[in-house]
Amino acid sequence: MNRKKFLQLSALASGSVFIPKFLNGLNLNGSLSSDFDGKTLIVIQLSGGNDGLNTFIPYKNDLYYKLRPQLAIPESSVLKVNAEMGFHPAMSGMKELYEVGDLCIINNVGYPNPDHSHFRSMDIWTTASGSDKYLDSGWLGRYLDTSCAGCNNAHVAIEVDETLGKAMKGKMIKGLAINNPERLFRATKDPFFKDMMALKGNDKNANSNADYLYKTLVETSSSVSYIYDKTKIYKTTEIYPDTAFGKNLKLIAELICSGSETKIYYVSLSGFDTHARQKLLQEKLLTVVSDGMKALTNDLKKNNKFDDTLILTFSEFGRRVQQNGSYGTDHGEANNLILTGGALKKKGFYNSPPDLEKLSQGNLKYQTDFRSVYATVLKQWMKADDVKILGSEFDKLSLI
Amino acid sequence: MESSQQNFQHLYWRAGFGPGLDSMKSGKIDDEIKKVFENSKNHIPIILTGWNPVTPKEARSFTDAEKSAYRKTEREGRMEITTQIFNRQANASFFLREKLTLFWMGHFACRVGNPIWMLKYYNTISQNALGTFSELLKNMIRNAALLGYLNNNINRKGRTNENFARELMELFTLGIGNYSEKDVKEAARSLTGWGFKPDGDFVIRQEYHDTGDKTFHGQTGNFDGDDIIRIILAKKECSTFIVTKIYRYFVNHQPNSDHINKLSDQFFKSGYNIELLLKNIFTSEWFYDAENIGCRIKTPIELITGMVKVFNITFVNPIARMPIQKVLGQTLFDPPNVAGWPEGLSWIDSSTLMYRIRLPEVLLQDAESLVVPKEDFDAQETMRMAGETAVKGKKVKTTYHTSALTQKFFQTSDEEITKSISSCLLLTKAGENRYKLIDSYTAGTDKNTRIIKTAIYLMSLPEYQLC
Repeated sequence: MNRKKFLQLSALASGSVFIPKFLNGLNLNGSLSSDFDGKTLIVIQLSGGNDGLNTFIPYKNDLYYKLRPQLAIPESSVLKVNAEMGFHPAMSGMKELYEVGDLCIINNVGYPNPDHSHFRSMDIWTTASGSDKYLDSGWLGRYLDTSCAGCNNAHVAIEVDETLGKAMKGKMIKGLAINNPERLFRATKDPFFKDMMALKGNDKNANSNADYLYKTLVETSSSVSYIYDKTKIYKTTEIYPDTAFGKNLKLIAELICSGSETKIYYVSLSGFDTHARQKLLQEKLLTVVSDGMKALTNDLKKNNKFDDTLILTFSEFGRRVQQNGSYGTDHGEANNLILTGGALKKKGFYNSPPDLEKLSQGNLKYQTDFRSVYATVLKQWMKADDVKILGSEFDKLSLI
Repeated sequence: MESSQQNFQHLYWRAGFGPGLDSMKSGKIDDEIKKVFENSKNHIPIILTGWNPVTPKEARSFTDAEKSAYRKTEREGRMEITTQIFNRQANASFFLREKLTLFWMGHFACRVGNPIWMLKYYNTISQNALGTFSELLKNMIRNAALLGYLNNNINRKGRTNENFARELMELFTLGIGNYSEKDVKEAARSLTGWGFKPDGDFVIRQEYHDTGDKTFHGQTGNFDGDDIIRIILAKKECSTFIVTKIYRYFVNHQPNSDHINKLSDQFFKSGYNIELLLKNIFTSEWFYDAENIGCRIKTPIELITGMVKVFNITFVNPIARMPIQKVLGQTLFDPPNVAGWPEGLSWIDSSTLMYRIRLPEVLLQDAESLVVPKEDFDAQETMRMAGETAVKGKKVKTTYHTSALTQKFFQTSDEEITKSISSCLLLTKAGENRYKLIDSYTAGTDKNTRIIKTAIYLMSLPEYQLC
C-alpha cells in the first residue's frame, strides 16, 4: 500500500505521534495490499489424520462393512448424496452446501512414498515437499516470499491461532498468528513498548536473534492495529460452534466481511488421531467442522464474499481401511480433500470413490498428488508462480 | 575457560533455570561446575500426601456429587505436584537434575492427568535423569503414563496397535530414516500385552502377548520390549540421535557435527552415561564460545522461573500460572503432542513475543492477563474434561520481594545502575540507547523504586528473551 494510505490507517488506529518512527522500521516497497483483488484463501487443517472413509462414505461397497464390522457407519445413518456416496451423519450442514454446488470433494489425494508419522506427513503437506525431502519453509510462506518481496504487512496472511504453524512460515516472510485482536491491540499501545521498538535501526545489534525479535515486534504492531480496526466494522449474527475452532472461524468471517485486505487465513482443528474409540470422537469433531463451515459460508454469502472465497480443508493422511483392535483405526495414506467456494468449476465429487480392494498394505492408494491441488490453487486462484513456489511443475486440475 | 561473570551466568542458564541475583561467584568456574553436579547427585522423589486414588470400579459407583468432589481432589493433586516442581526449578540446589528432568519430559513426551501416574512419571524420569539412557529407557517403556498415552495398553496379539512402537523409534531413540515400517510392525508385536494396572504399576498381560518370532533390524527371535530396546541401543544411530537432541537443547539450536560426533563416541562408549555427557559439554572450551552464549530463546518455564528467582515471586493461587504457561506454549505434563515442545525460534511469533515482552508487568504489577487455552492434538484430550480452567480476564495475583534486588544495588551510583543490573540480567549487551531509554523512564524516582523499575524494564527488552 502507499505511504499515505498507511499513515491514514495508522492514525485511525493509534492517533499517536510515534508514527514516523514506525515507518523507519518498516519497508513499504511491497505492493501486495494495493494488488488485493479481493480473492481470499482459507485453509482448514484437520490435525491427527481424519478418517476420510467415515467422512464421505461409499455406503454401497460391501468391503466397507466387511473391513469395519463395528466402525462402519450403518447405511441407514448415512446422509446419501448420490447412488454411491454419502456424508457422515454429523455433517448435515456440509450436505446442504453440497446440494447447492458449493463443495468439491477430491478423493484419493496423497503423495508418493507416503509417511505414516503425523509430524512428517504434516510437514510434507505444509511445506509441500516430497516425502524424501525436508524443507524449512511452508508453501504459503513461500507464496508470501515470491508475491510480496519487501512487503512487511503481516496481516496479509493470518493464522487464527495462538501460535504460528509451518505452512505460513516463509524463508523471509511469516504470517501473523492472532486469535484475539483486542488483547493484542491493547498490548501494543503501551508507551515503553512503543519507544522501545522505535529504537530499532539506531543501534547495531550483532545478535541475529535479538534482531529477529525486534523486527517481529515492529511488524506485529502495525498489523495488529490494522486488524483491530477491521474487527470493529462487522459483527456476525450466525451461530458458530461454541469451541475455540468455532470462535476462530467466526473471526475469519468477520475479518473477510469487514474488508480486511488479507489474502490467506489458516486455521486448525486437532483431535483426529482416532486410534481408539473413533466413533464418538470423530462424530464430535465432524459436527464442529460441518456446523462451523455452514455458519462461515452463510456469513460470506450474506456479504457477497462467497464467490471470492476458496476454502481448502485437508488432513495429513487418512486412516487404515480395516479397523484396529480398539474400535479405532491406525494411520493410513490417501485421503479426501474438500474445496468449498462460490466459484467452483467442478461441483460435487471430483473423481471416483476410493478403491477398497487394491490397497497398499491395508491403506487407500493415492491417485492425485496434493501438490497438484496446491498448484491449481496457487496458479488459478492466487495468480502466483506455482512452479517457483512448489519447486517443480504439477498437473493442474480443473477445479476453479 | 575464564571464570567471568558472563560464563557463570551462561552455565546457570543452561545447567539450570538462571542465576537469580547470584550470578557473581568468587572462585573458579571449574569448581562451580563440580559443585553443580555434586548438588544433583541424589534423587529426592516428590511425595503426595493426603490423596487417596480410587479404582475405576469404585469410581463407577460414585454419585454425581462424589464424582465432582473426586475430580476436585485430582485437580488439587495435579496442582500440588506441578507447584512442587516449579519450586524445585526455582529454588533447589539440585537444579541440574530438574533441568534434565524437564528435558526428558519433553523427550518422552506424553499427557498425564492422573496425579498418581503423574508422580510415577516424574519420579521415574527424575531418578534416572542423570543416570544412563539405557536404564531410563528401560523404565520408560514400563511407564503407565507413556504406555497409556500411546495406546500400548490395547496393543494385543493379533490386533496390534503400532502407536507406541512407532514413537519409540521415531521420537525416543533412532529418529526418522533409521528404521523401516516392518521394524515398527515387529516392535509392536514385541510389545503386545505390555500394560499397567489402574494404580500405574507395570504389568505384562501374558494372554495378550505375542510370543512368536519377530524380525527386528535384521535379527530374529521371540522378542519382547527389553529385546527391542537392547537391539536399538546397540546402534550408534541411537547415541547420535540422543546426543544431537541434547546438544541442540543445552548448547546451540544449530548442531555442530564435529562436537556432536565426538560427544556421541564418548556417550556410546560410556554406556549412554548422561551425567558424563553433560560434564563433557559444560567443561568444554567451545561451550563458552561467543556463538553459544545468549543464542538460545528461553523456554517459557526458563523465562518465568528466571523472573521468579529475581523477585522471589509466589502465585497467590498457583493455578494462575497455568494459563500463562499455556499461552506461551509450555505446560508441564501437557506437551502439544508426542514430539514434545518444539524449541528455538518456534517459541516466538507475533503473539507469543508480545506476551513475553509484557510478562514482567503481568507478574509484578497485577496487570490483566487475558488468556485463552489452545485446542489439543490428540483424540483423548478432546474427550477429557478440562481439569484446569483458564483464568480468563482475571488479574494474576502474586506476592514478590524486592529487598534482595534493592539491597544488592543500593550502593551503585545512579549513572551505573542500568548497566550494572543489565550485566546481572542480560547475557548480551543491550546497547547504550536502550540504557538511555530506560533511564528516561526511571529518572526522578527514589533509589529503591529506580532499581526495581530498571529491572522490570530490562526484563521487558527483547534481549531478555535470550540465554
